[in-house]
Formats: sequence, C-alpha cells, structure tokens
Amino acid sequence: MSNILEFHEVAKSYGGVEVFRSIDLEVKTGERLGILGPNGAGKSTLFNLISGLTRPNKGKILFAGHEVGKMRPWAVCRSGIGRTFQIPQPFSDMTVLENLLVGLTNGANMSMREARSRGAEALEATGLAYVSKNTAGELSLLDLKRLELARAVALKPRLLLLDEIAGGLTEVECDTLLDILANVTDSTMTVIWIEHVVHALTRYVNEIAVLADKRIITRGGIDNVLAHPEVRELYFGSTEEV
Amino acid sequence: MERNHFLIQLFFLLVVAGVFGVLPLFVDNGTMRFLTDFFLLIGIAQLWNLLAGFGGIVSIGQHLFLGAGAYAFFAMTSILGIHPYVSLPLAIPFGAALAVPVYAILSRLKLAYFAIGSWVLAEVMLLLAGKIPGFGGGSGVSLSPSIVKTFGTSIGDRMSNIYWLALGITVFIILLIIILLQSRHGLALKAMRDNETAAMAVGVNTVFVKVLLFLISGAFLSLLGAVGTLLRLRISPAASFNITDGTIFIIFIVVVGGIGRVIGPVLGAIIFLVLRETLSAYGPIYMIILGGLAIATMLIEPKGAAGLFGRISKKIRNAG
Repeated sequence: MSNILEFHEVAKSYGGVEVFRSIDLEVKTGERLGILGPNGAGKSTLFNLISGLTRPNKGKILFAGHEVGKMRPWAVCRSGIGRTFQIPQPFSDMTVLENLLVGLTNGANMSMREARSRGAEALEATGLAYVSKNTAGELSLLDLKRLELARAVALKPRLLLLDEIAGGLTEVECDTLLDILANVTDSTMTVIWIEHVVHALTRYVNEIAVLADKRIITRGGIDNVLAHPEVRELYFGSTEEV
Repeated sequence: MERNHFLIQLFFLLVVAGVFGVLPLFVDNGTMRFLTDFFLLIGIAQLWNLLAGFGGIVSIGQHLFLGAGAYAFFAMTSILGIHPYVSLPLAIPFGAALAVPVYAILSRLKLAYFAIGSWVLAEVMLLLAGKIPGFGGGSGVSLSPSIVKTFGTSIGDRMSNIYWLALGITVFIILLIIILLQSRHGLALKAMRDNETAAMAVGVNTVFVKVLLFLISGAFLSLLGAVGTLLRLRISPAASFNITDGTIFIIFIVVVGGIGRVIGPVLGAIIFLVLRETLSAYGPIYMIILGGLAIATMLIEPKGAAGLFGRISKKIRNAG
C-alpha cells in the first residue's frame, strides 16, 4: 500500500516556542492512525499543518505525492483532505444542511441540487437529518460533533482528520459516535484521529503514534504503544506495569 | 424553503421600491431630499455591511471611494465633457479599478492595521484631491449649471430625478446582495461571517471572496459618491471625502441595525435618521447618544435591531 501522507523533517515554532523539532511520519492509504499525546504536545498543530491553517518552518508535507505544506487551506481541502476541529466550529447562524452546502458547493464545486442531495445523505448517515433545518447554534454538543463529522465526510475526503471528536461526550454518546464513524468511513478513506478518550480511539484505529517532547516518541500497534516505557511515564508517571 | 424566502425578499423589495417610486408625485422637495439621503445612507451601509458583516473586512476608509467617485464624475462631466447620464455608470468601473490597488496595499495588513491603513489611505486621497489642478483645490468647485440642468430644468424635476436615481441604485445594490447571498458565494459569505477558519477548511477561497466584495463595494460606493455630488452640486475634499458622513455614521447604522443581515442597514438608517431629526439640535449630546447607543448595542444585542426583531418573532412563533 502506498503512502498517502508523508512528513519529512517538519519543524514548527510559534515565535520562540518550538512545537516540533523534526517530525517524520508516513501514513498508508486506508490506514486508521490514532494520535495520543499530552496537552500542548502539538497534536492540533499537526492537523493545522496538514490542513494548511499553519505552515511549517522547515521540511515537507506530502499528500498523495504533492506538497501541501505551502498550500492554502481551501486548496488542501479541495485536494481531498477533510477535518474536524477539537472545539466544534459550526456556522452558527446557518442551518445544519447549509453548514454542509458551504463545503459541497465551494469545496467540492457541486451544483446546488447535487449538494443538497449529498448533504442530505451525509446528515442521514450521521443521524442529523432530524435537525437539518435547525440553526447550528442550537445544537447539543453531541450533535455539534456529528455536524463536524458530517461536514467533513460529505466532501468524501481521501484523508479524514478527526480532532478530539469524542472529547466531552458521555460513554453512551461515544458509542453512538463510533457507530456513526464506522458507518461513514470505509477502507478507501484514510483516517487520522487525535483523541484523549483512549478507550474510544483503540476501538477504531489500527495503529497509534504518540506525540511528546516535540517529536513522535513511538508508533505502532495499540498494545505495543501503550506498553512503551515513555508512554507509560507520560500517562501513568511510571514505567512499571500497573 | 430558502427559495421561498428569497422570493418573499424579492417581492417585498419590489413593493417597497414601487411605493417609494411614486412618492415624488405627492411630496415636496424637502421630503424628497430627506428620502434621497435615506436611500444613499442605506446603499452605503449595505456595502459596508457586505464587507464587514459578511467578509470580515473592517475598513474605516470606505469614504475614499465616495470621494473618488465624486471627483471622477466631475472630471468626466466637466473636464472630459462626457454626458452626465453616461458618466454616472462609468463611476462603477472607475471605483472597481481603484479598488484593485487599494486592496493590493491593504490586503498586506491584518485586522486593526487594515482598518487604520484604510483610514490613512482615505485621508491621503483627501489631501491629494485638494492638490489636483482643475478641481478647485481645498475649497472645491461647483458643477456647472449645464450639467446640473441635465437632471432637470426646475428644482422639482431635478430633485425627482436624483431621488429616483438614488432609489434605483440602492434597490439594485440590495438586489445584488440578495442574489449574491443565494449563490455559492453567498453560502461562502455567510460561512465566513460565522467562522472564517472553518469556512477555509471546507474549501471556501476566502481571499477570492474578499477581493470580490472589495471590488463590488468600491464600484458602487464610487457610483453613490457621484450621485451624492448631484445633491451637493459641488465637489470639495472635505465634503466629498467626509469620514463622518461616509464612514462613521455608516458604521453606526450597520452596528445598530444589525451587522451581517441585509435588513440591518435599512433598520439602522431609519434609527439614525429618527435620532438625527430629533436630537441634532442638541449639539454634542446628539453624538454622545449615538456613540452610547452603538456601544450598548454591541454589549447587549450584538446582532442589532435585526437580531432583536428576529428573537422576538421567534418567541412569538414558538408561543403560537
């Protein structure tokens, strides 16, 4: 399987604050990769770099062989990368359906008729059809998370970036979200999921990478990563088995 | 649903335009002048709202285009000898062309610097206008009687024609904005109004949309500046590039009426004119009340009168 995403020696600083010293990362097509890391480790910055919301100071970010590190966010989206945000970013005064139509008509360049049809499908798949005419600002947290997901998957991205989509949800809501996620993603869609809710993450991803100390400290199968001494140190304050 | 909403807006706009359209047959020149002012304020405020309310472009120098339009109209009619009814529409491409270098400079600035830069550019244009030979220097120059008479030989005829011009242009601007909001660019605009970062992430080319808005705004402000000259019958740097009338009152109108809503500038212009007519005799207190009302709106009801009416009508609907 070929790589759909590659980071080559990517460095990122905000002023004097160094977030990444030199990151190398490869993600294969169809892979489901989870990202763990403590607060401030640069997880959201990683997504902002991929989606063009911020630019690397050094290094290259390749998506399907093309450099996206210097592209504008809308061009990155149009190239096939969809994302959600850690804190939901709805278009609050627009209806739920209109929230999807924005991307479908501007990002996917669809006619209004096609966009309405695709938008309705995405709302059905994410369980939001019942509020399609409500304004997004009125939605509950679970529905806002669903809307984030619906807005991203409606564009049928080749790479989907999920930023703490289970954060703040109850156990039952997490289960619902995982069911939806399984429903809207398939084997052709590569997914990278940043999450603190480890039990939700491990039910969906094949591999996990851990960000800390301005680098990826380990990456691999779920059990191996969670047993890694540095990860244990980070999460449990000890390298001993619990 | 959205299409129905669009048709209702269109119907309402055309009915109101029709009612105002026949008014000159029944009202005196003073009322016509007052209403012409009202239309021009709505037109200018709609264009500022389009920029700031939808595009997130906060300019405090849009009076640059009003002044430039006025001077361009004078140059075309009085210096180049172009017929006034041809010169007026030519103010549109002139304004759009001027918007290109202005935006090229300002787009390098962010947020507060953009706003300050726009103001500085407008002040520079004001100073330059007073230096251009043939435009009367700092005290300006009057339109020649032959140009003025093109719009009517009697004051009544002239006032009616200028009234209809201002009404027609303002209705056209509102129509253009309503149609724009129905398109994919309209969805992009509403999305940018609500959350620019998220809009970019779903594929909205925010740079293109902002340039488009700035060009539309510059083009029609230039036209409105030319029409304003017909009311004043003269151009001068201080009157044509007037920041108080061309930008400060306009910001008040949009904020109090409801930023990011098409109806907002209309409501704001009504509130502004009511306050102006009742309080302007009190001098500085009038300005203090305007400022206080704008601040109170931002703190208590940031969506202005439009937001307030929206909330009230929703409560009534829910209660029903």
